[in-house]
Amino acid sequence: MIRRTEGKLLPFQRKSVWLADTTDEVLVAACALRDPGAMAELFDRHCDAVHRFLARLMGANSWDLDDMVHTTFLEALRSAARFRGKSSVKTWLFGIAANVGRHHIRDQVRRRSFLKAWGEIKPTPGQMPDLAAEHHQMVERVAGALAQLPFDLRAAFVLCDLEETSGADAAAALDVRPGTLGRRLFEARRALRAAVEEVQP
Amino acid sequence: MSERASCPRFAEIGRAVSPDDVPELRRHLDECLYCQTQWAATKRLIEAARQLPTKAPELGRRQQTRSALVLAATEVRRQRVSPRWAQAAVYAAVVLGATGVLAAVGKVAIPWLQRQREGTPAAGDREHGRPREKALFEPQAKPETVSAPAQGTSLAPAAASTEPSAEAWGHRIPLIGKAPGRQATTARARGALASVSAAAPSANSTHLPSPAELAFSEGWQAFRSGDYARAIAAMRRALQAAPTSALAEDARYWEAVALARQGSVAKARQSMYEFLRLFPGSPRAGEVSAMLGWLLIESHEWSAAEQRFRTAENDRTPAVRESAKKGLEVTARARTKTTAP
Repeated sequence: MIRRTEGKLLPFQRKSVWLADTTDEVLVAACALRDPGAMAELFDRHCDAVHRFLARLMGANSWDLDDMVHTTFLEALRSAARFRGKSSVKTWLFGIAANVGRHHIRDQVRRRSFLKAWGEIKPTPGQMPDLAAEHHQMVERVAGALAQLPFDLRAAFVLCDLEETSGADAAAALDVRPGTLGRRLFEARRALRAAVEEVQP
Repeated sequence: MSERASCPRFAEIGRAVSPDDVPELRRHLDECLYCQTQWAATKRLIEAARQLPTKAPELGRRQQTRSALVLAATEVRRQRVSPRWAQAAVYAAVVLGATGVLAAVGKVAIPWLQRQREGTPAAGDREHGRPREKALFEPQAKPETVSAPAQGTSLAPAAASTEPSAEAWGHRIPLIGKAPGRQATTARARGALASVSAAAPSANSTHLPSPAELAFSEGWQAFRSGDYARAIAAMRRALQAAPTSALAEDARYWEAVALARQGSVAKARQSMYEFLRLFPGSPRAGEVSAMLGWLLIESHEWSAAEQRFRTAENDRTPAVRESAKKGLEVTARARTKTTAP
């Protein structure tokens, strides 16, 4: 350990290791003050979760998933000063990611590639051939049905059921009332079940 | 438990994120076979949806995004600050220009200008009976001109930027014992950071930062956030990517400082020696010599430390000179103690 002594040009351990121990909310506040270290830490903590959320929302083979992750964090940086702590930081990021996804699929060209993105799903290895085939068919059906859902219903389903976000948090993230979120969730589940059961042999 | 063909309450269950969290729904679910069947089917669907493939982000792409975000944070901060300064500078220039013109034509009487013409100092220009040393807080030299970097990088020379150069800010460059600030980078590093920042957020920009620039800026940000291990790794990457570029000097300097702050004294010493060998004429040579001297004192290498302090003794930076002077005092005292009977 190197200590600092009067008059010495000695290195000292700076206390900004604080970033590793601090809460997400404090990190967002630091991001609002444009602290690059806080931005990097926030990205490190939530990059995987945001990537997974967007992959579920937009399709895992969507070629511009990384761009959407980038845009999500850029938007988070820009709107960090407006974060009021109504939901957890992770859910807040999911809300931003959902908006980014919504804007993204408005582009018709990209929409076509988005629909294709669900097409190439490989069965999980290490299972019995018949089980693997069955599993593959089921996942494929769900993927197809999910891709056909309207965006708002899909966002509610992914956020609540796949990411296991609480109702209040999800409603805050999607900027809707809890009742609206419940209705969308019900619609999404019903539509998915109907689509999956309809094509079942 | 009742078995029904349908149940009106299933809509309530379907609208809940998790019926287990609502006691009333949980009770109904325990009793109603229809709702149990429907809810089980919904859960199977959710489980299947959870198994949809979600590939993890690629490491290289992830690093790129991370660096770009860090640079964007820096860029946004600069954008927020600079217009105010620019506005203030424009206002000041307009007011001063107008006043000067009016004073020159004799329309306005400016007391300090009159006194200056008459050769009498103003009261505000005196401090305890002595004229105030204005130069102490003002840039003392012309902006440093930096030769064009190798490998076609677009490192902007300090003369092109609006900030004073490292030369001009000489006495304000923080030493190793102080927290690093934006002004701690040399003109070349500032130029590099500026060019990388300018390139990062714009997808349409034609200039793409080189790997060395990206690595340097990542190392710099890591250093500022106290992540010395990452800073060292990034600075080494910058050195490997462009060992002969203008960034190499800064990268090697900050690698040495990060090593010292991390507590790797032996490696820090080695890195500092390497810096002095490669860049003997660097503006930071005196500073590095003084730092190295103190590290040598820690290991009781008095003569080597004294030699380092002698080198730093005549540095242009007062803080470095002062530190070297104190270091020489310490080595002299230590030698007296060791030679005393």
